[in-house]
Amino acid sequence: MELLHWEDEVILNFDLTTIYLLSDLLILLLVSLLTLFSLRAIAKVKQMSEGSVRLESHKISKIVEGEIRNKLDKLFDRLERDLAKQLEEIDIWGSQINRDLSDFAKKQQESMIEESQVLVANSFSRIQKQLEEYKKNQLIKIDKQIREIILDSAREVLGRSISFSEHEDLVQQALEKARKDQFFQ
Amino acid sequence: MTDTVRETAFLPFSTKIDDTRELDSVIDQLSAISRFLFKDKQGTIRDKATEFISPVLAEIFAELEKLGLEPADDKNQQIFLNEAILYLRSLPKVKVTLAFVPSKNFLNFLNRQISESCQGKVVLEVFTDSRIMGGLIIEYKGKVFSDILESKLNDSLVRFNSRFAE
Repeated sequence: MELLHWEDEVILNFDLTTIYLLSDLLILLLVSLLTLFSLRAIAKVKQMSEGSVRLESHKISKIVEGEIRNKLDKLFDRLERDLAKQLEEIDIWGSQINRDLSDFAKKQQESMIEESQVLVANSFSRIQKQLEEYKKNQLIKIDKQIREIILDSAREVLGRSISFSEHEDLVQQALEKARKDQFFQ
Repeated sequence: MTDTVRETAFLPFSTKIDDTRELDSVIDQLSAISRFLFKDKQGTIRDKATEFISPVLAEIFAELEKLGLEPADDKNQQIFLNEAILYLRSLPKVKVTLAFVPSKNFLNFLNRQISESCQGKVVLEVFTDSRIMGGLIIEYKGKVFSDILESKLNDSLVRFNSRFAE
C-alpha cells in the first residue's frame, strides 16, 4: 500500500509551475500555427507575393522559434528540478522503507529466537520430568520384583520349616490381636 | 417358634458343626430325611431314617430325644426338620484364611473362640492359602482383619529397601 501511495505521490507531485509552463508551451505552439495559417490567409487576401509571404513567415517562425526555445529551456529546467526533487524524495522514502524493513526483520528474528529458546527450555523440562518419572517407576518395579523373589523364597523355606503347632500358635496370637482391636464388635 | 426356643431346640445341631463343609453335609442329610418322613412310618426320626442317617446326626437326634425336644408325629417332625434347616442356614458365616489345613480339633477350638467373640454361634468358611505363610485373615460382617507372616516380611523388606536406598 505504501508503494501505491508512493506512485500516487510521484504523479501528483508535479507542481503547478511546471504545469503552467507546459500549457504555455502548448499555447505558444498553437498560436504560432494559427499565426502561420492566418498569414497565409492574409497573403491570399492581400495578394502578397510568394517571396513576401515566405519572408514574413520566416520572420514569424524565427520569433516563435525563439519564444519556443525560451519556453522549452525554462520548461526543461523546471522539469529537471522537479525530477531531481522527486528522485531525492524517492531516495529518502526508499531509505526509510529499507530501515523499516530491516527493523522489522530484526524484530522478527529476535522474536523467533526467543520463542525457540522457550520451546527448547520447555521441551527439556518436560523430557527431564518424563525421565524422572520413568526412573521412579522402574525403581518401583525392580523393588517389587526383588520383594517377590524374597517372599517366594521365604514361602518355600517357611512352608517346610513351620510345624502345625507353630502354625496354630500363630493363629491364636492373631485371634488375640483381633480381640484386642475389637474387630468382632 | 421363638428365637430362644429355636436356639435351644437346635443347639445339638449347631454344636456339632464347625465349618461350612459340615453345615452343607448336615443340611443335605436333613433334607433327605425330611423327604423320607413322608413315608408315614411310626416312631422317632432316628428310627425312621436309621438306614442312611450319619453317626453325627444319629448322635444329635439321640440327644434331642433325651431332651424331649423331638415331636412325636410325622407332620410335626416334618416341620421340625424344616425349621432346623432354616435355622442352620441362618447361622452367620465367618470367612477365615489359614496357611495350613487345620485338624478337626483345632477347627472346633477356632469356632468356639470366634463364636464366643461374636456372642453367638457362627459357622467358619475355611480357606487355605500357603502364600500367607502363617497367621490368620478373618472376614466378618464386611470387615477384614489380617495378621499374617507375609505382610510382616513384606513390611520388613520395604523398610530395609528404603534404608538401603538412602
